Amino acid sequence: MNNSSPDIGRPPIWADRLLEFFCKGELLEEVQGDLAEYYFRTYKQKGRRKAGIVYWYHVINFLRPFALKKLKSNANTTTMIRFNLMIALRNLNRYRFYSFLNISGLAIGLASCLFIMLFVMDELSYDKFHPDYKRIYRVASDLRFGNNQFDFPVTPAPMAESFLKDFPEIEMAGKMRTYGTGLVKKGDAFYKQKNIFYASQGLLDIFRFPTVYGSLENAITEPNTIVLSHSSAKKIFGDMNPVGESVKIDERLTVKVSGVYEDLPENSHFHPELLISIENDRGNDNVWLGNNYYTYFLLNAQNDETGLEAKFASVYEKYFAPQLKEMVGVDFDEMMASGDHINYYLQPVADIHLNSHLAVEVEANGSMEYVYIFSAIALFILVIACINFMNLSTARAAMRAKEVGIKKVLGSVRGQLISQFLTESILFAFLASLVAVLLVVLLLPLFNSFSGKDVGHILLDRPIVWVYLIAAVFGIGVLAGLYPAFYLSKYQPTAVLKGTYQAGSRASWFRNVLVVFQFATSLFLIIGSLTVYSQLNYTQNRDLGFDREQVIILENVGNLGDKNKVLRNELAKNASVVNTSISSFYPLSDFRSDQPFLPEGTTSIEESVSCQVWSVDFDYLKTFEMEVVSGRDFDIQMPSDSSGVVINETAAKRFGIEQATGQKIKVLGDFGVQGKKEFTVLGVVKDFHFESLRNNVVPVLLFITKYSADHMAVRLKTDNLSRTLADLEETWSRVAGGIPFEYQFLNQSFEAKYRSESQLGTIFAVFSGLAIFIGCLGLFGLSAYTAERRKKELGIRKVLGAEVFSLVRLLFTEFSVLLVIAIIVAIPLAWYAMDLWLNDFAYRVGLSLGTFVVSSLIVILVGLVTVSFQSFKAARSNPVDNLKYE
Amino acid sequence: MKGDVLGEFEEIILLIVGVLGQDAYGLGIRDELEKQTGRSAAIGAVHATLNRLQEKGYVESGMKEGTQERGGRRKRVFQMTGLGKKALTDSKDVRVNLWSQLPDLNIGKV
Repeated sequence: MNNSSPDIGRPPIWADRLLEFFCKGELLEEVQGDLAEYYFRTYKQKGRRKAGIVYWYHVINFLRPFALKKLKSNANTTTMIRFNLMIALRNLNRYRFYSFLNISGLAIGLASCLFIMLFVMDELSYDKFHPDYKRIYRVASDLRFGNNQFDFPVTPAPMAESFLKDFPEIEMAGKMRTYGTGLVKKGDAFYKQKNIFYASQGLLDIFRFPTVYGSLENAITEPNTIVLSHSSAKKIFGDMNPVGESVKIDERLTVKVSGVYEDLPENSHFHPELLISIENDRGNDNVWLGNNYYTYFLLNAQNDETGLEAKFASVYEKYFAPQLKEMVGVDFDEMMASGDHINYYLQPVADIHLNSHLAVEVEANGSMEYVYIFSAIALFILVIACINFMNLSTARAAMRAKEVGIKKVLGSVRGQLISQFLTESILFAFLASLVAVLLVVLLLPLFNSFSGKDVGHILLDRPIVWVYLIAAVFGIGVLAGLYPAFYLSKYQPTAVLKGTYQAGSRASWFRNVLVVFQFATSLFLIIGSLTVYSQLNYTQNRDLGFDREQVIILENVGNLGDKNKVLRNELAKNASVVNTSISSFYPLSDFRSDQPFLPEGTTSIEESVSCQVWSVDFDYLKTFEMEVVSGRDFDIQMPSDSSGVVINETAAKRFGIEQATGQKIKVLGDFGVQGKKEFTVLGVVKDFHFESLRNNVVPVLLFITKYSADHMAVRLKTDNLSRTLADLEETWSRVAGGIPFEYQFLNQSFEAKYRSESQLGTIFAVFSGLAIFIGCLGLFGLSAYTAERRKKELGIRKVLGAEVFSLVRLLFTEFSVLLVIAIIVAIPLAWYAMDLWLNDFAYRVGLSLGTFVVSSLIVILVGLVTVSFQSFKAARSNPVDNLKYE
Repeated sequence: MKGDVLGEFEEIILLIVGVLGQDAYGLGIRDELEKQTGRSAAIGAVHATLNRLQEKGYVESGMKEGTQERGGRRKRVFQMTGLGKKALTDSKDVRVNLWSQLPDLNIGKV
């Protein structure tokens, strides 16, 4: 720790600016001095973040009368602004009902916008915290062999080192390879560790993670060395400095800790928690045919990637072609001539989270599409709220007309009236923003829980949010106030004061357009959320080709070694256990391995089929309850089945197999599967889904392996799940001796796979609810106004014998027409947009008429109920009250 | 006028200014307050109180060269005035007087 250095940054600059803005000049120096002194003290004791927050707190606390600058109040403009503010506040107080509608609508709109802005800012901030993020790139591949297309962010192992030598543009190169989850043993204690990777020293040099203990320089250049994240270190070693300590990983690799780095923040595309020296993974050092390594480059100059990418191909060929010839027996030029291609390209590291959606991403990424959708929703809601504001202001024009008339008679020019109305709307927007901030602070935990993020810190870390908010207050204030301001200030004083002025009639068409827009938007959002829900429902209830209920996946089975047989036998004695199967390739797992195969009687690469190679055991199909559609399942009684294969329907189609009758398929190239190169097709299993339903099912081959795997699927049949789980745990701890009992439910993993869709569904539903609510606030105000305006007309009608019902109908008709127009406008747009979204899914629902009918009914119902409050009140009132003043 | 009466917080701050003597400035006073009473106050609150005390004439102030951790900024040091000292004495007298009239100090003791 280097506490002695005085150079530890500076207090938050925006807080300082705020202080300079409001604090009296003669006080500023001492106050700033005190605060700075306090800041540095807190910094040393509690770190930068805490010190920043404390600093802000104390600055805000200086907003006291004694410290504020005195406003010079003799200038004309300030007098006018003060006067305008006073009038505005009086109006606010006098028309409390409208003020409430206005401010609450705008506040909800602003709060929604703020939330979405926080969400979007968080999404856009991914990987921008790396010191050199603008120069860091990841290599991704776009490969085509035969009929098989591969898009993934992994490369051959030697690419990092070779390209570093071949290209002067590359300053540093680093790579890592997934190790996955492992058990770390310290002394006699086991710790489960996720996100383990093999990594080269280059990776640490490129990303320069902040160090907590030891050093990251040359930390993992030697074999059997590791570095790990601070939270992992805490979990395994407690609060001590673990540098130099030894641990054992998965009972086979003893390693020494050489450094600890700070945890990567949430907004990172990867979160490696333990990095093992790549020296322990040298097997692929010269292999250019496989792609298993994430490769990162630090380039010399920014934005140089296109020039560099163009040169990749020729260099790549230099290494790749000889190996292709030697191992697979295929000539590189011939292959390219047949239409195949090999492209490696660079992804800027800050683009990965939102724009990279390849197979085997390190972690599930976000989506630019959703960022756009959410931003659009936020904008819609804000527009709806602004429309409320404009509508209510113009509708109230009648009541203000006399005020305007008198002011004009007393000599106000139009500009002054405009500025008065603008002041008023800015004041409203400002009050709404205060309420909005309060709402955001209160609802933050709720928003975090359904968006799966932690966005609150952005409010403190990124003061630009407040700048946006203030800009929004003025923008909305001016925009929403502009129309009423110009409209109201136009009145002819003589007409108004004589009483010949027809209030509001000229503006009513404009108001109607705005109401139509509000309801069309609400309807659009409702249709959107219903469609998202029905698609979600469809994916979750679809026949996946296997039964995901009552299956648990036990982890850490690989660490049992030969004891896994004991465990299986013990589990078989349990009446609730139907079947067990050991394999790391279960549907929904992230294990993937691809290889090209040749159907019987073919030899050329064009005819090969790239298949996923899944290593399973004899009980696999039975445990997952997958259906064999032709041929047979593996049979443990048949020793020859170890060179047999069960394929899925998609693979059968690609191989041209209709009935499984012992056809042969062959591995293309020198690498066998399980040491064999030719396999007999025993059976065809019905297609089962194992990736997001956005993707089509790809060919899958199931092989029997004699090696153990890390996972065991257990099919249960039980009514008392907690009891069965307790039994399983008891059996496990008897057999496993200290290795932790960990499991997941298959159906829960399935739901996790669809989290982004279900989040979209929730956000859609919440915000469409808000949109229609704000719309209704406006409609409520408008109907109150209409009822008020037609009070006398209704009175006369009633005196002449009209029934309450027919009066209500009279008021309804005006709004019903608007709602119908809104429906006619919204439905085609919603149809088009939702169809576009659904087309992203390989397996999707159709758009149902029901959705549209239900959504329209909701809008009509809610709209009319809102209107009816005021209509009934007006229609039932005693006509004498309304007419006696005439 | 309420202005002439010493508030509880004002009294404590004024006492601390007296106790600190030569080097009583905003943050220092706040630290001493925390040390002596366990109360932690916002820096702004301390400054506001000092400002009020000065308006009442209980303290006077001058500027003093700042240290490096203040970014070289000067600080305002406060000193108790005669009037301040009198205010404290008055306040104490009132209390002592009241205490002496309290009938039985053993109430509540077992």
